[in-house]
Amino acid sequence: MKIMIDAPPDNDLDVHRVLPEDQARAEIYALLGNLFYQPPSAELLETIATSRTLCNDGSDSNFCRAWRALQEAAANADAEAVKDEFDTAFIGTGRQPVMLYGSFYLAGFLNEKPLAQLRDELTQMGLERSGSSHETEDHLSALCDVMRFLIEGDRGTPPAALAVQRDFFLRHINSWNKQLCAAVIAATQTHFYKHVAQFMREFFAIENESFDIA
Amino acid sequence: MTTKPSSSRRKFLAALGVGGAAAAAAVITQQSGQPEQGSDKAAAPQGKGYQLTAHVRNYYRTAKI
Repeated sequence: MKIMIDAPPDNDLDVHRVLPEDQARAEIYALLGNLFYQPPSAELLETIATSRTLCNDGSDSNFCRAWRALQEAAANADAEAVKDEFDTAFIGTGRQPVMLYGSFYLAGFLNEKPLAQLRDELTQMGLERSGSSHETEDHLSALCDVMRFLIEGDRGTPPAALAVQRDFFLRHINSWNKQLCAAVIAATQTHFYKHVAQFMREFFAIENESFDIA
Repeated sequence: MTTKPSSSRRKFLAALGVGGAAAAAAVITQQSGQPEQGSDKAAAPQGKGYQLTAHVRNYYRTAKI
């Protein structure tokens, strides 16, 4: 049984309502999942560059500095060049220069035990890989998808308890994401994605810390 | 069962720039997930690797990513 969490203090409000902070978290996961699944369109780059939805209160946190740097990078980016960068860094013609799969960082190889454990866990959660997806479940974008679902739920499924979100995040994302961020930032093939990785690193640092406050 | 949100957690997130603008933040999601008109991706599932089993499949019909 899932447990509704973060119900607003006003009992008259829908118990499934997601708080603004959690809505923002879900949308950041959606953005990161999107950026690491496919190269951004020109429209998305423009949206990132012109968005005033995050850090709009003058905050000078590391997270906000990374967000503004990403916005500036998006403003100056060419979509075709970013596509080439994505293809070169994350797809490649042989082994990808930068792997986006958790099992690679956790076990040293793809499709290893961590992926099998993740599949079992997702099955228990009622999730399974889409038949049209060519990515395995431990791909960063898939994991971001799961986090977004846990945070937002849907009409039939309430948001998961923070403890559930925390557990999934710590074991399946936080356990290897620092290595991924370092790899993206260090890769000679990346330019725009260095800013994406820095933003992701700062966001996950906040996630890590905020779960301890909950 | 419900649990009240932690005010300290909310303050922590807000102070770092996360939150407080949910309605506007949706712009990112809508833009980031829109498949290109006429492209092959237009017919692809919205989810990036998973589909939910029947009881929550509606989620991916509405998800923007």
